Amino acid sequence: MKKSFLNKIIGLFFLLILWYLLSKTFNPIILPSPFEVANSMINSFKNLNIFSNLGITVFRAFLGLIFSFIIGFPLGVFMGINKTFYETIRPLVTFIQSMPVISWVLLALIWLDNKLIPLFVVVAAVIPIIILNIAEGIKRVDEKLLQMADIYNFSKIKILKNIYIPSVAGYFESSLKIVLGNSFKVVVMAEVLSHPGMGIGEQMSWARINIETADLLAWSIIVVLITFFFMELMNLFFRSKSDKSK
Amino acid sequence: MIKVNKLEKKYDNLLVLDNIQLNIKKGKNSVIIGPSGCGKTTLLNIISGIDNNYKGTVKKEFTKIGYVFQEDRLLNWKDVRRNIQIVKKNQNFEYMKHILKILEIEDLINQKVTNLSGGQRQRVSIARAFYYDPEIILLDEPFKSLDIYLKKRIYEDILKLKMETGKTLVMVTHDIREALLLADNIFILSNMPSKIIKQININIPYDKRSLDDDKLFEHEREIYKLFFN
Repeated sequence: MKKSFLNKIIGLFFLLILWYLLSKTFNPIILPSPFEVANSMINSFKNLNIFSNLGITVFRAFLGLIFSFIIGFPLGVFMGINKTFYETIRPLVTFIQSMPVISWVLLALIWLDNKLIPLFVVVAAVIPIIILNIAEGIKRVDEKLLQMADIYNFSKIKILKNIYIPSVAGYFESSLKIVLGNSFKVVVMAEVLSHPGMGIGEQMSWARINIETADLLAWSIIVVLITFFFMELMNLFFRSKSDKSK
Repeated sequence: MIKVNKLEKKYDNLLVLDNIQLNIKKGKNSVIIGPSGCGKTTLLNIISGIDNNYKGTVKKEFTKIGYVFQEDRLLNWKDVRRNIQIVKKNQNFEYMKHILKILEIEDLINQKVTNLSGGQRQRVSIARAFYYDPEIILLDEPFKSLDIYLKKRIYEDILKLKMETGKTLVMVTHDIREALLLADNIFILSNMPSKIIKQININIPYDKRSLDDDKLFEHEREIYKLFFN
């Protein structure tokens, strides 16, 4: 454990050195040095606005996730249980999934108010993953347990609560892991293009317009750190849950 | 309790059960014995109503049925108590504890079933069937994967429960000795397409049975002959 942590630090250190050396050969507008980027990060943290920008982006991502699960989970369950419904809905879900995220952003620019665009795009990007994962989990529920439930006269609700939902928990966890990482990237991209007024993407867009490469990189690193933070938080949550159940 | 008449079951064109006649009596232990793959589980599935695709008639005089499957079919995300209580609406924990005590697993009541051994899990599955309080319990080779010592103990526990509750038990097995120790009526199935080639009734009280007993030994030889001639 300790050794692997050390290896990570060494890897990061080499990356920074490489970055530093490369920045020496380029104009700072093309590639600023790690120090300049760090400086820009520190400066932006001095400005309290960063927290509202950060907060609104995280809020949009989570709101999108919550919406997607509220709609996607029951749809996925129903698709898993009912074959006809699955076959009818599947093409639509595949269509939404295969559509480039950028198309959703551009369509949303035409259809929606700018403040709603990031939320809409997160939902569009994330919901097919949730639906298909949950449907797959439901379809793989052990047929033998359902037979047992039939013999012991379980009601439909009892079967759903005691067999389907617990069987699907693993699929829920894995779909959450996939979509959590995606949702931050997607929300930032939507913010860059839609200028909703606030948010990390909005700041990145301004940094690009003003050719503040250091700021642009600083914001990018902040997105990476946020994603990392929430992924670790989630891993910790699931680990403690599985420890408890042991 | 169950009358099976001219039962015929096919998988596609493969005839599995051929003209089965069976009369299962209330309160008795009926054991259906036959070689592996002869359609014993299929027969139980037809009796239980899991499989309704057959020819012939199956007359059932019961409303509730319990089933101890070959695999325990427990819910791995629940503990022992919840796996058992799930089959009933109105709980009687005293009775549950009593059943668990007979099956020698009362100390495991709060354990997650994933922490249990195969033998313990199968006992939980037996407890679940008895707690459900059906008129009839089907058992599909429930001891298949257990060692001989464990088997013998579970036989005794099941017979205790059976004598106390008076339930009708229908078990399938390929183990001749298991049949001799547990059955009132033994139905012998032939190889596929399976027919009932003989019925043997055993009139020795369960607790007086031992495999060195001359009468049981005679039955054992008789069944061997039927299987291998």
